[in-house]
Amino acid sequence: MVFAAVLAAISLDLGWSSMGARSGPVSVVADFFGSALAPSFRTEDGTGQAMWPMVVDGVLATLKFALAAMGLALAVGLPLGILAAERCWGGMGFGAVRLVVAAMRSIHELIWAMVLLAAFGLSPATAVVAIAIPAAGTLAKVFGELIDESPAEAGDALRALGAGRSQALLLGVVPRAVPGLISYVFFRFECALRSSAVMGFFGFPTLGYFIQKSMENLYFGEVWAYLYALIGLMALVERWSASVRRGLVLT
Amino acid sequence: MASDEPSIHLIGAGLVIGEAELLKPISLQIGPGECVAIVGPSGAGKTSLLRLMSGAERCTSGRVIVQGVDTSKAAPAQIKALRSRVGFIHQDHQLVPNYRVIQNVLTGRVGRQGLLASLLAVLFPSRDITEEVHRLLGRVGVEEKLFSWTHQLSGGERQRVAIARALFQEPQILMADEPVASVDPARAEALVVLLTKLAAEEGWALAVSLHNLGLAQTHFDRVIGLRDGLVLFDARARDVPAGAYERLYDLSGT
Repeated sequence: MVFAAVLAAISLDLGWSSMGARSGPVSVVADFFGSALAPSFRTEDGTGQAMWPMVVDGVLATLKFALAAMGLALAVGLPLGILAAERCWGGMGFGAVRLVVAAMRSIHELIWAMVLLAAFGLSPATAVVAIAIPAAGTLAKVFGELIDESPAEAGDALRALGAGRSQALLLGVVPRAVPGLISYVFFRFECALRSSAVMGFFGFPTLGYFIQKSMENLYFGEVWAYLYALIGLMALVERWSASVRRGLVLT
Repeated sequence: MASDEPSIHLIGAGLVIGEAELLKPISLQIGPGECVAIVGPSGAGKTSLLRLMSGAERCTSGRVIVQGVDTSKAAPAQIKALRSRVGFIHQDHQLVPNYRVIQNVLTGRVGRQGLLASLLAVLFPSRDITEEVHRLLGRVGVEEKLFSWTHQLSGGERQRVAIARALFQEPQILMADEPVASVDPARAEALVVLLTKLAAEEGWALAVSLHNLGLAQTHFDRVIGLRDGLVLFDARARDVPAGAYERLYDLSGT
């Protein structure tokens, strides 16, 4: 792996010279990082409007897209996850499900977004579905593996009481995978938030949109205001996720 | 079913899996309400015998008739229906640790419910059912644990919850495969007493495999001694032949 990484770096001609030669004036870089300690509270386009309404809009839109996408990903990913468990099938059926799941997550949400944009245009559903497809794929993969790793004794005990295969699976085995799954769902939600922000580059009204607009005008103070908002949002979600995880019964 | 018809009837029933002869042909009857202890060293075939008698395993020779159902000929649906009428308690690990106690008890009727009905019953118990489970937990001595997480219980408490689940299931026969192997001796005796007391109250035929010979002879009507898949003795508890236990656990030949 390390050897391959070095080879790749050489073939990409990475090095200080490559950065220096192609970047713009050094002052732009200095300006950008210089603004880090002075994020703008008012717009820099001369009108001097307050920044906060746009920051709030961007944060809320980022949150909404991510939540909607996770809802969809859960609705699709949970049933798929059960089907992706080897235990769910007497024979080899899970292999076909795993193939579908692998296809869903091997394509990045940005590529899904490009494809869906071409098909459906700039509707909010485009971004939501683009984030949800790979998220559902990873949820299904992780859930399926958690189910297959869960101890089976409680399910076998239910078979002894006359439970059918699916009853034993859903009532005796799947519940044991749920705490691990909830933990993973929160991690995946953080990913969805980051993706949701990036969707702004396509024109969806999330933080990425605002960042791109300010960046084009070299309003670095504004950029930093949005970046700090994004970092704050991520920190809040991580705290929420940590508190939920602490409450989980992991056995 | 007439009350004098045996609950469990083995007629030359044997079990061979692959090369291994787990049980040599065995004939025996267990009547309704009878409490039988099955003793013997590890690997003697106690678990195999219980699995044959509960319909979990089909005999490879002879016949096994449980509650009037011939398990060697019955269709899978008939076996499933039979298993819902036979309670089964394992040594341990039979409960879902991240369920609340009530939910584990509620799975007792899963064999008589459809998939959706069983999911709803476990997730959303009615007030009446909750009351019923609370009463059953009282009968096994852990009524304060109704809403506790199962993984927080001790080994003995978990076995009591498993017994409460059997009560909730309302079987006609209860089998227990080394139910006290994971608890300390004092609690083991209390569990055995509880099992036999409930069997008398409910009219269960009870078949329990045990390692502790003293418990078997003190608390059961009848003791069956197994060794190497063969019934060495099958007698009233007080009539167990002298020296039988020594022969059962005799290690001189090995």
